[in-house]
Amino acid sequence: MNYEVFTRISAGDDLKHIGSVEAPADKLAKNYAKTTYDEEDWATMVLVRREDLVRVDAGRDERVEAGELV
Amino acid sequence: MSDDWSPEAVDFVQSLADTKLMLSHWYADQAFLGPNMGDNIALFSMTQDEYGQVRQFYLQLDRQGRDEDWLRSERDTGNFYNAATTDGPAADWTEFEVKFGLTDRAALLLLDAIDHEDFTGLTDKMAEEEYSHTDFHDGWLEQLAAANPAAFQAALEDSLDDVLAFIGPAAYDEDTDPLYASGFTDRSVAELRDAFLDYLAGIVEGTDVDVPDTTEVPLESWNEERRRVAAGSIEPDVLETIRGSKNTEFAAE
Repeated sequence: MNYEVFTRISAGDDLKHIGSVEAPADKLAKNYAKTTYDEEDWATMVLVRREDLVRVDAGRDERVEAGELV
Repeated sequence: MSDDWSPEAVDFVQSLADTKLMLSHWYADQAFLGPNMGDNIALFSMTQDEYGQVRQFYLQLDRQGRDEDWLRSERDTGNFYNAATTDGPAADWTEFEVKFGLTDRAALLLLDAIDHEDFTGLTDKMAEEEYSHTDFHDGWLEQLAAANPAAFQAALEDSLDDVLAFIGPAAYDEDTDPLYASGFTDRSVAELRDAFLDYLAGIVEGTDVDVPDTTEVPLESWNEERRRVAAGSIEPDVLETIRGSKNTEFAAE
């Protein structure tokens, strides 16, 4: 399963997309994200399953590909 | 720095150090072979954590008269007190997670039970590092127990008695455990074994895996220094790798 990683450095900042991880389950995805994206002491880090992303721009395939996110 | 460690305490800390050394070795050995890139990143990180902890333990042991050079590069395989589960590599990913993940958890329980002034702050820092290890292993153990119960069960039956022997004999309760009696640890082996088995029951809960019946280890069969019942040791080629024997000519004097 693919997960997109969003973080903020300080409370009040916008959440920003910083990358993605692929994992067999949520618990492992969280571990991979913490280990892989450890360059900052993040105030918030959240994951979103890529399949749960909802496309807003009309007239295109509903599916969101990883390359579109960076 | 105190000099009041009992001989049993020195052996206990060497066993923790040697087990962590071997975990570090097998994590490094597997670090390009994880199922996902995230696993490899975690394995490299855990390799470094364990090796750093080994260094700290060796410094402590040296101060207790167990020479650091001997620990590092001068002893033979029979003088390594690592858990029997860490003598050799795992055959596959499920076995890797079961025997090394559970050994890592057991080592954390032992580490966390140390209650001696020489470890003030040190064991807290180590336990902090170990959080990412247990997070990683628990994620995989839960996943594999659910998805691959037969292989998990087989690996567990192969490893559990050796992990429990590393924790120690069940006969060591608050009245008989020499480390508890001397105040070096704040929990007896019997309590640590129960804590480990409770943890394991939680890992396999809701899956088709059962915690096997455990074999009571007779005290007279248990090797206090090497914290095991089984014979065996690391292989000579592994010894050469972890000693750094090939590059001694470049070592600092």
